Amino acid sequence: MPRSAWIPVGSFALALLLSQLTGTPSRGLLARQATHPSCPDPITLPVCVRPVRPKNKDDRGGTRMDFSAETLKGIQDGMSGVWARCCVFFIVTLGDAVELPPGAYKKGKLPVANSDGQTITPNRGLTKLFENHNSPKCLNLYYAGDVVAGGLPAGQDLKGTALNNDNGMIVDDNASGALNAHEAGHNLGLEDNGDPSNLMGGKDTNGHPPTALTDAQCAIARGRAKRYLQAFAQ
Amino acid sequence: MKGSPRILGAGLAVLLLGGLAARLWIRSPEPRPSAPAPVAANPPPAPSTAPREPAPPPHPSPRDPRPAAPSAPPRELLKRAGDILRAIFTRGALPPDVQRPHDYATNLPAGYFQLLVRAFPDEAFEVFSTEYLGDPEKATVAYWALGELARLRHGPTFDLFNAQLDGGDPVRARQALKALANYDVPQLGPRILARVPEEIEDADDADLLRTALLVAASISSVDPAALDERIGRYDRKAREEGIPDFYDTDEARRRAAVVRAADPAAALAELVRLDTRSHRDDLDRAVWAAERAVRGGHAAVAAAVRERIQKELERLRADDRLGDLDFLGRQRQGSPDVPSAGAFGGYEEARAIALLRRAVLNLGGALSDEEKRWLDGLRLLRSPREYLVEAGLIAP
Repeated sequence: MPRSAWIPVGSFALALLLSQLTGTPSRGLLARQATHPSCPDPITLPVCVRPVRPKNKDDRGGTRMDFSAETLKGIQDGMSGVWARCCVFFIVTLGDAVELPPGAYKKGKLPVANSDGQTITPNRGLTKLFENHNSPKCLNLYYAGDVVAGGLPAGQDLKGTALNNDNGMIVDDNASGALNAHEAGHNLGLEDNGDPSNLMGGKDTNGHPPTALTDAQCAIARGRAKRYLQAFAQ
Repeated sequence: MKGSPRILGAGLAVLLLGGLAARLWIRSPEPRPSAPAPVAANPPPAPSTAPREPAPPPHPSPRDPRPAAPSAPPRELLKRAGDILRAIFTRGALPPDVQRPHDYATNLPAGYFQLLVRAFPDEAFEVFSTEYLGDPEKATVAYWALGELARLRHGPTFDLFNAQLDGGDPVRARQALKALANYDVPQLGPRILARVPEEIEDADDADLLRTALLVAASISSVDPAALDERIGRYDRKAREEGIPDFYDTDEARRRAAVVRAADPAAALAELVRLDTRSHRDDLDRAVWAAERAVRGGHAAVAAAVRERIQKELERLRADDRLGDLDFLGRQRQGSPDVPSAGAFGGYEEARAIALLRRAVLNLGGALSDEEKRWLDGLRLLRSPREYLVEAGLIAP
């Protein structure tokens, strides 16, 4: 068996192990890793999809997605397809759902940001979500239904947000693979950069980011990805 | 004489390099004397024990494009800065002559927008409380300006937010509370407690509750028993709802303890040093405590602030992120580092280090020349007017 063939096998074993360690069972899904023939040193990061719903089932809000095996594979392929440029791949599994109290929602939407003096800050409820529910064994990707940013100028649309250089991203149900890849970029240490052709800067006509990444961005992201893997293994 | 051309070439190269070095040396601005306005004593700088940092960002170079219209009246400058800020934030169209929009607004309190507001507080109040605050498209910019004025404890700004507190809208009440937190006047405590919502029906109520508890905990004119009752009530509610501390009661309790402490300097120093499971909160709290120490004149807190700076530098070094300190270098490479709702944090340590270093100076502590140059590059060392003159925005 050629050496490269062991990569998917190792990834499968890693994902299985992670699903056991995190207490967030994969519920039967373990999609195959996307690989790239020109990657001498691929990095594969585990991502846990976390459905977010209101605590009271009668309340409005929360994700409406089914997270079938096919859906999760679509998320995985969408993210890995963009990040293959940097030889960074993702294995996406389904983690535990999170239930939030009424104080987390506004008209069925989840506020994730506030205009706060000189800066835009994460909504404190979102911060508490990450602090209390993040699995320490994977990048946490929360699907929240509809997300909204409070106090922003009219017309500002937000489909997702993430912590820069830290673990935690949250998106709405309509997030594309490129948007998930963009949010993962933040977790991997990349800031928004204003470049209309870049994953971290632009938007296409549907509001989704383009997929270009520079060598410098790849270097930053790969360094951060390796540190995540070390942390997940502890 | 076979080697002569090579020797001549080498000599020429040395001359050219020497000339270039001399030219660069001449162009380099000299280190300026540190003259932060509120600094009390200025003892000789202590040797820095900080991990080796990247070179400090340079002062604005004469080659940088200068903003237009240096002689425009302050109101026009403020409006222009406000409109640029809004365009950056909404990714809208910028005035064609603005080549370095990131100079107007960074995530540090050092963009031209903030400097102009601080340099011309009365004019800023007139412009932003009228033309901008009433326009939904521009209200965010107005709140940023008014927040800056509240930090200066500007009188008319207090009156505006004091009136806004009485409205029924929880979002506007929260914005008012954050501004009023800068003014600890006797009547304020009961008014803030009265805005703590009894029922949490949605995220706006929850945000108002968190802000009201934190602000109430930070001022001395609050009835301690009444505050403790509310903190306890929402502490229990959060546990019942399954997200402990969902309403920020832990942080409110910590800040209230400082306000009530018999030895405020010791309590503030303890808070500056405190580490919890949320590093983000630790940084916010350290900056809050350091700035409170400055306002209270608690010079003894400077040592704890220095320790926190050192700890954050060590953290950055361990994570191979000392380059985060190079704000201006990143901007030159195209990273705007402007307020964004699309992502949070990432440079929090660097931002906190900047504010903590400024606090050290304002507490009468010492910074190394390198640290001062770094602060100066971020426009955090001298008066706003000096930086605005240097940028060519206002006349000397």
